Amino acid sequence: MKPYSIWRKIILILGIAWMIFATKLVSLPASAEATPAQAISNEIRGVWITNVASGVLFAPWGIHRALNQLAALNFNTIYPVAWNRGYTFYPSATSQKAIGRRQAPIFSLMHPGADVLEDMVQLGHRRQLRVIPWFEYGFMIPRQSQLVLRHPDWLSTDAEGNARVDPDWSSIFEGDRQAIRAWVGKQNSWLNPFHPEVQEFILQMIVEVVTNYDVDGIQLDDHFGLPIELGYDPFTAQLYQQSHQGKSPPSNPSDAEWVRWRADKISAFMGKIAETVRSIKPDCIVSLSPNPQEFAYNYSLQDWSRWVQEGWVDELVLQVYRQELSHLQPELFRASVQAARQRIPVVIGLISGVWSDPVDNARLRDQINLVRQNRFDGVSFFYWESLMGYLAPESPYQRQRFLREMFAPS
Amino acid sequence: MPSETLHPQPPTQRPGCFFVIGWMIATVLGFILSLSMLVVGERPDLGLQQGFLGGSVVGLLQGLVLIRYRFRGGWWIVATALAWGIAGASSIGVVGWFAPRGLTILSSRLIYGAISGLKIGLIAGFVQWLSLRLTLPKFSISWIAWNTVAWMVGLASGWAIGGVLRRITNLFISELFGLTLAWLIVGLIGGVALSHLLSRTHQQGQNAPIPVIGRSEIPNL
Repeated sequence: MKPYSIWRKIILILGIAWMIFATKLVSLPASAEATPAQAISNEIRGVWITNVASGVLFAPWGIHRALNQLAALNFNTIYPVAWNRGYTFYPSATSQKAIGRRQAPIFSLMHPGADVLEDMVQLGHRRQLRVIPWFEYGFMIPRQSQLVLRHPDWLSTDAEGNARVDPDWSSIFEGDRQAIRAWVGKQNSWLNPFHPEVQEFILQMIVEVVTNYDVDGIQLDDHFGLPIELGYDPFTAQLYQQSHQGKSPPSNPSDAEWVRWRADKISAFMGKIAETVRSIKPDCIVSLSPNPQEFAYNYSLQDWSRWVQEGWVDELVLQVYRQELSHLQPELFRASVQAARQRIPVVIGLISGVWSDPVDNARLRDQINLVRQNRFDGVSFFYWESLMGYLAPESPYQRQRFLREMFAPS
Repeated sequence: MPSETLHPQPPTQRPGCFFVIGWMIATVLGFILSLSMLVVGERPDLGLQQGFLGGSVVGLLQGLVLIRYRFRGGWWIVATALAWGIAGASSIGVVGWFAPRGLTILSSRLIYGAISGLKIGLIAGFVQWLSLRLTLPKFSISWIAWNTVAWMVGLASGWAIGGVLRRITNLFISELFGLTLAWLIVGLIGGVALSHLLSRTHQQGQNAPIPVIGRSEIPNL
């Protein structure tokens, strides 16, 4: 053997030994101490599972992995998306009839021949998870969707006759964040909640889910309403005139009587949904996830306090997506929330992050603790990808350790 | 008489530009596909099982490219899975699937990435070299050096970029982009090196005298 070869080997061995030693010297920060507040015994622990900015519904084994993890972390409720962006996420005869597709195309492609909702119901129940399909988009719909193209008369419009507002391109190109956000928001139109065919379409989707699946409930959210500036389409205007001696709707969209008239119409439809669901399956939960009442009524014509009082809602999951604890706290003490708590379980919906506003474990811990200290019935997180996926400041493993600690059996 | 001499393997194809592209795609695709089976985390989160699983998926796709060029890819798959399993079980760690914990300074990530790349490059390169030697006795030992360089450059760059993106976005998904970049660089450098080394072996095989007995004396089998 040549001498330089021996030296090379010695250097190499020493080098490797040093590197292994050096690696061990890298200090690892201690994980933040979590001090969970005492939870109520039957705390509701939910998470929304959506297709938007999330791969969990599309990745191979994604759903199985997600549900198994959630069960292992002592969650007990999932709200999987059933209706979003003009498509259903289960094979739907109603959707087939309306747009010629049984469910969302990419979703179908990733799960050929499968009924994912059925799989979720079965797996969820095996893991002691309540499965409450969530009709995420409600009346909201992308303006380029098949449903809009096939049924333009189903849309509601503003006073100028627009189903949407044209984007402010110059501001968008200048990078104005508010203009960009507004533009993204305006990519959607709104189905007319007063139109009987629209109501029938929404109702039939709900009936399908309740009839064909062993679900624990159904959920509607803040999109089951109508932005206040809409409702000026010919159909609604005519409907208004019929009950107002031929008078047209007020030009001010915030006119109190005009707001009340539209909100009552949506309320009546909500009552019909609750009645229909219970006639099919009496123990099926009608869950609602709105914004706080004042905002919901004044901006989305959603009078959910009344819905609770009427007994149409069995579970309220109030969306309180706030960065600061000081902004979260007042929302929990509003009269509408306290009144709802007298009648039904009230869960607080917390945001676990979106790509533009990640939420770290410390903030989540503070918010969960605040909800618990005020003895609410539970928490639900929007949404899986930012709670336990990669869309969080921490790694998925760190998130799981944090949640395991927060939701450990007491 | 051994059956191989009666039914000799078809001659290998000389790898070229398309081999490099195919190798790069296979490497990155292997990493992406592996994410459906294992979750990217930090050093203590992944061990032998994850290393073996991840290595199997990447090795499988790379092995398919070798098979496409009529090299025996089976041992390559085993070797790659084994190498990553060893990494996972040892202090090296499953570096291709984790982000460095607690390192936010760019230079730290670069140095730590290069050191970690050196370790995995040596281990994986050595085991892969052995696997190719089983069927290509003249396959050059310099593969180990090339693989080490690929991992040093790849991991240092990937972890650095991942760290920068994470600092900007405050999202862990940034680390996935960094790791994808790492695998891309590893696939590119490794592909170029492998193409060159296999071409040389192929050339030597073409010029070698035709053996008359024994599997071990038939080049490229």
